[in-house]
Amino acid sequence: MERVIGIDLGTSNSCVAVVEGDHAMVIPDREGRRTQASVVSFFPDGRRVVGNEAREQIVYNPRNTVYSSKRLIGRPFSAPEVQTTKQLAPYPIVEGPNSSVLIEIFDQRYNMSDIAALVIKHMKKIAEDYLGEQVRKAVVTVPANFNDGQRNATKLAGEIAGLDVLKVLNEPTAAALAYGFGRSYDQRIAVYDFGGGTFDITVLDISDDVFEVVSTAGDAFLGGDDIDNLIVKMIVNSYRRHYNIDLRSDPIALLRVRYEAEKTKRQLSTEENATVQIPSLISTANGVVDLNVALSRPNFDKIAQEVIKRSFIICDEALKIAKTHVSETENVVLVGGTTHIPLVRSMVESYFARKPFWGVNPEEVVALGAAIQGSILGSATGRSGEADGGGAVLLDVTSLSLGVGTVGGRVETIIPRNTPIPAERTRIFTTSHDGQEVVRLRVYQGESEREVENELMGVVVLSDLDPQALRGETEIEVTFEIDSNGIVQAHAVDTITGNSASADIDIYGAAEESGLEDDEEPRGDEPEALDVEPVDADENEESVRPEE
Amino acid sequence: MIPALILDADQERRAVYEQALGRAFDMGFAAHVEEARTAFTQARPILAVICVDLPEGLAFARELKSGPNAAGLKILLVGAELNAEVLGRDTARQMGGDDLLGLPLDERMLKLKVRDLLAELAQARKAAASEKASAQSTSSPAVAPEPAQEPPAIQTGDPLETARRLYPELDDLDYYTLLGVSPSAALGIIRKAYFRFARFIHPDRFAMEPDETLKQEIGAVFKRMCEAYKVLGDSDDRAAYDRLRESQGAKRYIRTDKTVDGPRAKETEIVNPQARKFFSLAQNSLNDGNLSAAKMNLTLALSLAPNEPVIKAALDEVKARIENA
Repeated sequence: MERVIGIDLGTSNSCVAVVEGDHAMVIPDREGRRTQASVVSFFPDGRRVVGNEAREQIVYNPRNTVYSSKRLIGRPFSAPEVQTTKQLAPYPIVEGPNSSVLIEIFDQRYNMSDIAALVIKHMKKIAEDYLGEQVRKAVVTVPANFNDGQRNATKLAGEIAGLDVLKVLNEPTAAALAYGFGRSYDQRIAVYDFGGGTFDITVLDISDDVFEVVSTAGDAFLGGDDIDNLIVKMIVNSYRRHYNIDLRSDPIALLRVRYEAEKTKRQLSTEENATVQIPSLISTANGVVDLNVALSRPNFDKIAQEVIKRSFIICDEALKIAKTHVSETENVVLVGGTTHIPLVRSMVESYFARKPFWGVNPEEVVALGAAIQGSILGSATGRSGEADGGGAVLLDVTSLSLGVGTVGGRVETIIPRNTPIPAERTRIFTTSHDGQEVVRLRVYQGESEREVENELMGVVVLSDLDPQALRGETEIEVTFEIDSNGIVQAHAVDTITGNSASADIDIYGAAEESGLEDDEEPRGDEPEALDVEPVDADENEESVRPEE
Repeated sequence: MIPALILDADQERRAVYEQALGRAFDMGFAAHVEEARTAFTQARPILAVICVDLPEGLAFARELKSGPNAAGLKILLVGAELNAEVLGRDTARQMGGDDLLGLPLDERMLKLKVRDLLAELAQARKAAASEKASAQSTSSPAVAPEPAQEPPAIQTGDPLETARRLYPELDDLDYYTLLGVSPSAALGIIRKAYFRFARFIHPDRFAMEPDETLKQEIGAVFKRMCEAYKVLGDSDDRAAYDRLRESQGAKRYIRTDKTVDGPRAKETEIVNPQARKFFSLAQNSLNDGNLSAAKMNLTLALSLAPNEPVIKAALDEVKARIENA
């Protein structure tokens, strides 16, 4: 049977895993590192560096190094998240056709699926090196609150990278699978997923081999990066106060501060004290100034607390939707790098009144779950009954309500959030004026009743309607469908004539052209690039560096 | 969800039961013995909580204990006079129950007692099962306790075959028939039936299936089952669906009201009045089918209000239409 890998494509880090024999394992790279930075760096001569080696290029090659691309993937250019990232990121984000987001580097335009594809390709390569065989199939994970556009773009990225994406799996569901697969549990658990960019909480019931998502809620704007931002802010303020230096006036200096702040944050997960230290950070009239800011665990906790607290408001929401109470959750599974922070663990423990599950590394658990799902799917032809394919079934839900914009700028919900998927709902739409040949339905995903507050997902165009019909005479039955990957489809039937009307969803913000077309021979080009890179070889990100 | 029967007329205590057991059990409440007897036959609970202060309460407990399902049932007696600290489980057994609990009802104690009773039940089952297995050669008619939440008889057979058989008549099946449960089935039974199908016909199980027709058919059946589970799983939706089913013979619970694709209210959201004007001119051009005029007006509108997503979206739409034309 052909092997299927599981890829956790994270905002900051990615991880790849596979099932070997009867257990899932993380695949390390040649240096033994188990996660890779989700960073792609481009060089003028056409070379690229991806992964951990690219991370430092955020500082040294800022204009041509793309990081946190997960925040942009599948979003239209006008989305607030894109606009915010555009202001913060030093790499150039431009608007492409159909409101898509493009990155323009060395006169080449890449869409966000291209960038993600480079990271996926890197993970694929690591797997192939380790397994000694070609890999063609994968399960790729996404945050539960990713909408249709983001899921499509992620799936596309997998395809650009040369993989058949068997499933786009929700991260918390993957984590639950890694936690409970093959263990015959009968319990209700919560998956607390605090990553670099997003926070998700999911309540699941595991009953033996059935994993049923009861509710899920999330905040796409809450992550460990917010803690980094607060540390940076603290440093900026202190430099202004003590030295009258405005670090914000130097974007590169600010990037370096951010980079070191993140490192210091990691250090404080295991140490009581750490120092943010950058020699020759900024030049002033009085000479070159070093950065040297000591941070103790208690002070760090004070800063981080406000960010962490926000996660529990979302937890309240998820528990409320599930009509459950913390006392009924029998375990809490931690996911995401931010859950390494001791304060996060202790706050989770006091919120859920129990010690969270410690068994699997929170940065690896999602990839492991994806690998398990991959191995199940890889053998699933469905004909040979229950025992075949390991027998775990994931009953997931849609985390965003799907609705249609109507008169007065209101959104009418068609498939509410937390509906089990695959889901299908049918609605009848009618024309508003005589001889109307085309009806355009604006499709939204989100929880607000007002159109403007939801993200426009796309437009369903019902065309070729009867030009002779008067207002309201034409009735079109539109069926919206969300498949088990969370991807939306629509089809329509004219109820009077019985003709099926065409109902194409034009996904708003979807990229149209790949910038990687000339990239037919990807194998081998990345490792070569490393040898010539101006990267300090012993400075890989994973080791906690002592102050220099 | 495990079916449980609560025979207790006190409304305030009902909340305590809900709080303590609501998550694990699918509870049927009865206020008098007659009601309890009907509920018992329908839901076949494995746990009965009986208030002995009710007339006939004690007699009902004994009736259950001597009934055919006694081996698969645990009975907890509650009553004002039942002081659990003084009276032991022996007393409970003499009275016709398995354990007892005093009033007012203590939520924590209730939970603990029920947990212990269930553990005993599970153990007894295990023992009976292994006994049965070892006794099979001698073919002694072991009285194995009948698991109460076994899906009803209609659901036997291969779920995949069942689903394929269901596909052609999908639109003629109500949710209960689809899942193979009775219309009075407790949520626990419905859930179990849905899970059973899920294990066999969830689309994930066909990821490598080459037969697209099979995939599509099975997919359609499972999608409808998800819908059934969603509706029947919500007590309000289920009640509404039941009414429609009985009064109009409805098979599905779908909204039939029409949504009008009415005149766009979008322009009112545009702040800049000049931009708003050009936007509405563009709408008129669109209605006249003049795409290039619409494009011009929208471009003008966008130049006046560069960050207006409504205008951008409309312009993109028009550009796409021009390209397609």
